[in-house]
Amino acid sequence: MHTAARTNARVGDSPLLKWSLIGVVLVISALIIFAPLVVIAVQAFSLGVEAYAAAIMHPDTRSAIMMTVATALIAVPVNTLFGIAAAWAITKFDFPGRSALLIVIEIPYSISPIVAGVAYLFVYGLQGLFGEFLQDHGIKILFALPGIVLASMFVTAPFVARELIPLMQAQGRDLEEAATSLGASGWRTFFSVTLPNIKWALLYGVILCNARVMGEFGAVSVVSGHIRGETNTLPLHIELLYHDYQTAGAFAAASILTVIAVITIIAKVLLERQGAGRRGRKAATDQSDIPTRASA
Amino acid sequence: MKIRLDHVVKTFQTFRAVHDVSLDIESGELVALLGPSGSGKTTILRMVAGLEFPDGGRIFFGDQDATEIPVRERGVGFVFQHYALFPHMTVADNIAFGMRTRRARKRTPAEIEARVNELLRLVQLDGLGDRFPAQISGGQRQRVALARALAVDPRVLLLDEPFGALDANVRRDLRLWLKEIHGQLGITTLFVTHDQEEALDLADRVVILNQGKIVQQGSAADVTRNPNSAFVMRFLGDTHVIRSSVEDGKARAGSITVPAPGLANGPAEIYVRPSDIAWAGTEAGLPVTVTRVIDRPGSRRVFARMESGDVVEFDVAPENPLAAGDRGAIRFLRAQVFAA
Repeated sequence: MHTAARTNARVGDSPLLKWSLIGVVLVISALIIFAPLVVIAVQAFSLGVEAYAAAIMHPDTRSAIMMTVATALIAVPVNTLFGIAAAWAITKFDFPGRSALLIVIEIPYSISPIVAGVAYLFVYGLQGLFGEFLQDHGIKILFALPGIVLASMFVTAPFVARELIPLMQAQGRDLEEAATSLGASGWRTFFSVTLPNIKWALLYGVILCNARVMGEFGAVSVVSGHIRGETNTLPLHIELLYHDYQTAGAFAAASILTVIAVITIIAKVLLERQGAGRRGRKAATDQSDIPTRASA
Repeated sequence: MKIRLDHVVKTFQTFRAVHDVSLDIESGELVALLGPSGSGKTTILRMVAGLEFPDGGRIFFGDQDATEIPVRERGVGFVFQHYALFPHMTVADNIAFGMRTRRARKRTPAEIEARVNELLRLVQLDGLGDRFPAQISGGQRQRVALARALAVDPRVLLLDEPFGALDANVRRDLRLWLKEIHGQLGITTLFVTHDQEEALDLADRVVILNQGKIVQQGSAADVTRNPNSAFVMRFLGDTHVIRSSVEDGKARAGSITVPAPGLANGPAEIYVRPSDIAWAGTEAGLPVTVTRVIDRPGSRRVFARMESGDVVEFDVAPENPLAAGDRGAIRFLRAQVFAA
């Protein structure tokens, strides 16, 4: 009997393989993902709760938090609007260069963020293309909030568009055409037909975009100038504190980013249950019931 | 509302989708655009709706030149092949959508609700107003789509493959029902289909398209009894093609002659439907050898080989004792001849 069962087992179904594989994955996850998070928590409170509070309330840390929040408050809405516009243009219109645009939008995914930072340096820096012009007019882009926002926007440009494009492609143009044929204006069509059908995917993209903006280090590092208490964002501030041997302070600041990350993950999972993201995409498109149109 | 298409042309990149089409649709008429995929029928429908714009020619609604009027202003009711119901709205909200736009005639919420209920009754979906599209069947969705299109009091009703996504029984019911609704409302209606049975059953007039051109139009009787081309003959149903030649206005096959008025002498093809072939036994006709017989509920389907080697199919009465190997002749009850 047992031999029969064994020969019927599917490939790779032996308990030994199963448990050793699960074991290896668990150990590696614990070592390289979970352990550092525990270290952050432990180190952040290593000098006690009061020291933790003091580290977070330190003016430089508060300034870094404000800088990060300000960056996100500008970069995320702008990129959200850009993402919607790009997804709309690509999925609802035919125009020359459409597939080229699709590729261009993805560039920030594949390029190292530091390259983006250096590129901004060349464009807006003193020796850069617009450097003199900007200085003559007293406009400060580099080593100030505008540069940080621009660099962050570059890095996160694809996040919203990438979530929306496949969904809107699957939904096709029928719904918008139906709404228009019923007399709805462009705005009304967008707000009462398009937006409700993409809202979860949109929120999903916004949350990923926000997480990336708040956590971005490479590109921002080049353009911020690391001015303590002025142009440091949280990730930059953490590095600075660490180099100053203020371990507890560094970990306290890091704990803030970690909390943001955990909130992001929870929001992401909740949204996926609503049908957003790649995992839930099938369900989301199935109910809309719009296969591609036969071109008769 | 009378619709007139005047030498309409539409090209997509290099593909000529619609090629100089002129068509008059009378007020209150129910017209089918019938053709294989790629024949341009959907493109014509979308141009009448204002969802596409012609590259040449004009489209008139009554006396008004509607060619450049965008879909939003054109006042058409369009029913999409896959319904295009708004999935996040209830059935009632879907139907009310057009009445709530700024373009629509002003109605109070109570009037809108009354009109929604009236339309739900019309499409026989009373009480389903609170459901979402995902909670109703395909046939019900199609009826909601129709109610939604009718809610804006369109001048013209346009339907793109209205029953294409439904199973056979539902199709048949909905077809009869649409005919009934059309009779009640008398609205000018144009629908697209690739299903000849649907077009013939439903339409006052069938317009047959091929490769962007109208090849024939007329009542179901016209196009079925007097097809004007081999394409129409083949497209409307099963057809056997028998090689022949025309001499003095007659095409010959065995001892059968089929009148071919107006055809020049030379090679030709006789087109005959299985239902128009009869077993002649030992009488004169086209000699065949029976190769196979299949028993069906109301008849027996016979497969028979002609001397040319081609096989024809036809039906005989259930009592007929024909069997494989029998020799005899067939004759044609009706046939068409087209130049080869």
